[in-house]
Amino acid sequence: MLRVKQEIIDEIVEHGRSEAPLEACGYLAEKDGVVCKCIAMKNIDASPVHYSMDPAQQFGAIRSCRAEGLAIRAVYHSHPETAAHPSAEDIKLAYDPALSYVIVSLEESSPTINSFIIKNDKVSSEQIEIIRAEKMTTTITADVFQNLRGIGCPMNLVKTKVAFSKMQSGQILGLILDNGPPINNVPRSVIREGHEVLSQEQLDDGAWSLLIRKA
Amino acid sequence: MIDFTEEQLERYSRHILLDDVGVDGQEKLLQAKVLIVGAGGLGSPAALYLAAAGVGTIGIIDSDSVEISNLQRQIAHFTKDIGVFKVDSAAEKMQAINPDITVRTYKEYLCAANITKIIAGYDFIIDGTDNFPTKFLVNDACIFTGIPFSHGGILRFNGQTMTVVPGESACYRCSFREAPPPDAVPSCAQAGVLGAIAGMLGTIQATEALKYITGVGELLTNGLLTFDARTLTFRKINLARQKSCPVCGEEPSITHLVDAEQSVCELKSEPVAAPC
Repeated sequence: MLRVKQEIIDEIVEHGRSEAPLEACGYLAEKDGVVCKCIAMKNIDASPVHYSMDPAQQFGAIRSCRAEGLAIRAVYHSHPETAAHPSAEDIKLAYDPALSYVIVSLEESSPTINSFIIKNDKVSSEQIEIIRAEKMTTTITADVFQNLRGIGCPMNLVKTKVAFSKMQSGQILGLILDNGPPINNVPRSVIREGHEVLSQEQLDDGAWSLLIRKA
Repeated sequence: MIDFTEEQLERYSRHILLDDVGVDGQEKLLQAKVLIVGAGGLGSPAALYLAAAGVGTIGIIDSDSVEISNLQRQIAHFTKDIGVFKVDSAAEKMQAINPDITVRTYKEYLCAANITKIIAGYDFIIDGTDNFPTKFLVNDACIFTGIPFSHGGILRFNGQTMTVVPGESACYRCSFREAPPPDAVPSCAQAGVLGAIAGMLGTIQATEALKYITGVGELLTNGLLTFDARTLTFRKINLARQKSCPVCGEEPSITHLVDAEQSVCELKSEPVAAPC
């Protein structure tokens, strides 16, 4: 099983696309069992059907990985026009059985990515687990809250300004504003005064809930 | 920090909404003290606007009573007020507009003997007097006490105003050394005045007071604004502080307050601090 961070998958695809129609190649380095670095290498063959790495660049990559506490985990390359399976040449040139061989196919509009273990010219498929970054769900809570339901313009803005005047810079004001002119006008005015609207969402009754950071 | 009542929030909402005034500016206004010298043509609009704006303490000094000839331009006074002290009439209108504020009335003629005591504690003074001796007296007393003021004058179709911040900007005497001889310049009573220009000039003076208190914008300092209502032409004449100024210069010759001579006929017909 090859465990790869989502952003590394994205980098591999991006590298492949940037080199197309030539093949792109590089190393994947891991830490704590997860591939967390994509090292793009130069394809000195500059060919659409095969690749070779520059030995000097290879040594450099290995050295810098060691310095960063990373280990080379896989070799990747792209197939700009063909499927994500090793060619006869890929198999022949897979010298290191300890590494995985990752191939990204760009023949379809949505890329396919596969990993293989190649031992003694024998190819076996390796499962890839994509590790997605934990969803950032920090809850922001208001320091001061004002329910301005039923309060029209401009008194809703007056009350908002009064609330801000009693707050410290950086504190968060929670507001409930009516739909219509209030939601159209109040955020615009507070932004003009330099405050930052962090979020704005409509509630079931049509009113809006806002979080605003005081400038 | 003042906790505004709901009524105050509504009353002052148009100030609070202004970016440059806002809650802080309105608080400053409520805490400010402004003295208006003269409850006449200039003092009337200034008093009404400053009261409406919520200037917390407004003093108004005038020794006159309302006459029917005042009503053409002195808009704080109504026909029913004829015979009433101008300061009482003005105070009634100011409190009617805004019961939120304190009005102090002085039924006195401002002179060298009382001016220092009367102006003490005020943040800004509006000169709405109708005579040169008092204008120079206000200037000198403000220079001595460091209180900023707005000078204003109107005659016929013309008005002029400048703001003086003692120690910082040109004072009235930097440009106008001394009062002209008695009767050299006619008074409103002699030359006439278009009523509405009292409003034009008095509201400029009120605006300067509000700007000074809230710190908004740039004051009309080091410049005399004049206008001619017939063509509605405004001019701003640049002025500079003079080292040779007899009151705010390097070697002042005026070191204490004195009452300048007043025209005898003026004293009779239109007694003292009654502004145009």
